[in-house]
Amino acid sequence: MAIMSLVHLPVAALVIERKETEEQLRQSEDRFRTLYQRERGTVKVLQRSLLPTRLPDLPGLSIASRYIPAIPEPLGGDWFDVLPLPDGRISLVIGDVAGRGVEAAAVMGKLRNALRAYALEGHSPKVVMERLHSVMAPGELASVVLIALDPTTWRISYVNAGHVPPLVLNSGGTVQHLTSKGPPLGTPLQRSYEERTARLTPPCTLLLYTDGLIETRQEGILGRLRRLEEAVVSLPRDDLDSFLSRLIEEIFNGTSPIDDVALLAVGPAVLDPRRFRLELPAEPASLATLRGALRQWLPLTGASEDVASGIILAVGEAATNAIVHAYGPSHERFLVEATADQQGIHIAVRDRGRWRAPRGTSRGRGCEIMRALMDRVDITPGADGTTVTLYRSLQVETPSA
Amino acid sequence: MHELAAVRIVQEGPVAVVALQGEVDLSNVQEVRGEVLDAVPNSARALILNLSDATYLDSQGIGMLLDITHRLRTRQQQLLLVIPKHTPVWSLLELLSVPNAIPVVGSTQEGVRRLADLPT
Repeated sequence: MAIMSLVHLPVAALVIERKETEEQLRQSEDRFRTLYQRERGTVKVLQRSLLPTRLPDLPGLSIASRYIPAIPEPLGGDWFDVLPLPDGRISLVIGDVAGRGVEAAAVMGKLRNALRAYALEGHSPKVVMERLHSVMAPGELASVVLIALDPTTWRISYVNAGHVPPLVLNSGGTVQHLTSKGPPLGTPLQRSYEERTARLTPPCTLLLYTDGLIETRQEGILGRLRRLEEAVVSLPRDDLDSFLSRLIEEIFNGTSPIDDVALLAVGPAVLDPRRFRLELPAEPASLATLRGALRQWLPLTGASEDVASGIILAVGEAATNAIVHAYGPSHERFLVEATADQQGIHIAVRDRGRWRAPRGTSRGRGCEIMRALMDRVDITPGADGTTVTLYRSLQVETPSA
Repeated sequence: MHELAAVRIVQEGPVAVVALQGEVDLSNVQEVRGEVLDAVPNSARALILNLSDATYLDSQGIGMLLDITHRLRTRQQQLLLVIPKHTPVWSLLELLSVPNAIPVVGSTQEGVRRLADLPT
């Protein structure tokens, strides 16, 4: 029967069928467009919820970041992160997951959270990276740079898994690439990553970025890299936020990125010459960190080099006592607070331990040094800790007696 | 691991010359003491410890210097410190009257001359 009707009504039937097909095509196209738009929306939402909404406010550091989605659609795998570590260092992260869309954004979310968890457990960048590698599913691939920065000494430890090397922009106008070998996360048979260390010299700026910044259809990647270097050297960096805005302007010159771009810039914060505050773990290694921070701050107060080195020594003695007398194996901290005006500098070093009776002569020598170098020294033992307050006049160069 | 201080053997022989560079505090004082003492063989008559490039010493460092003197003395060895005048380290040693206990000279050459004048 069907054959019969086809034979009898061939033209009309064909027309109707074509119309149906066209209608179906239109519908499926609409459906596809809706789905596609929905996914695009999902990528955006995922990305927005996975990137830090606000970077942490960290003493001594100034931080700026940007995320620029590709045009016409975001790819979704780029991310950056900043998190304070238990040892006082700051973890700086930038990464790029291969692929696009919801899947890339989801892998990015997985990596970001796993990285945070491992880093907060106190693992070194190398260990964090190796564990991160083990959470990659087959077929997943991502490039990541992880830097642990000591904000007072500006010592860094870093690991690079196949990512574009971060840049260090030195105050003298030189650009240093933080190179380190390592394939992307998810590379089969990869087991270990190399951790490198470097000592940066503030005022410098660390710039972490994803390759979307140096990827164009028109220009080779090397040309772009050179353009990036030229741009970062020429731009003022006193305000990192406007530095990034101008850098993006300079690089893209009104055009749109063909890949997502994530940028993270970190530099030393402008210190307040009237105020200083630093809380450190009660362990010997903190002494060098404390000296580094005071060496940056004291010149701003108007203290001469002699006065500054005397204060650094006296505060060091007070801090040494705090460390020696800290109870418990770990997690004890001590706090150094200082205020300065034109008259002089007040410093308080507080710990939560109780000083034991002097043992040996070096403790007595420490107090002798403090009293000789400062105009006033008070040691106040309390129920919940000992406070040493030091005062050094800036008015006259009092001869130390 | 970072290195706050470095101990460098400048000259071996009857008068050992050792340079201590960098910073000494609670975190590395034991290690530095050990390295300095290891640099002085039993056969040496004296140690000239050059602190010209020691940028930071505190009570721990002073304690270390006095302890090194004491240990060398029991081995009948002399210690001389080289510290340029009016540096922060020199001021600190003056403040604590360290030169009363350990002779301080301005240069390694001066130290060598001083040792030559001394009866062995």
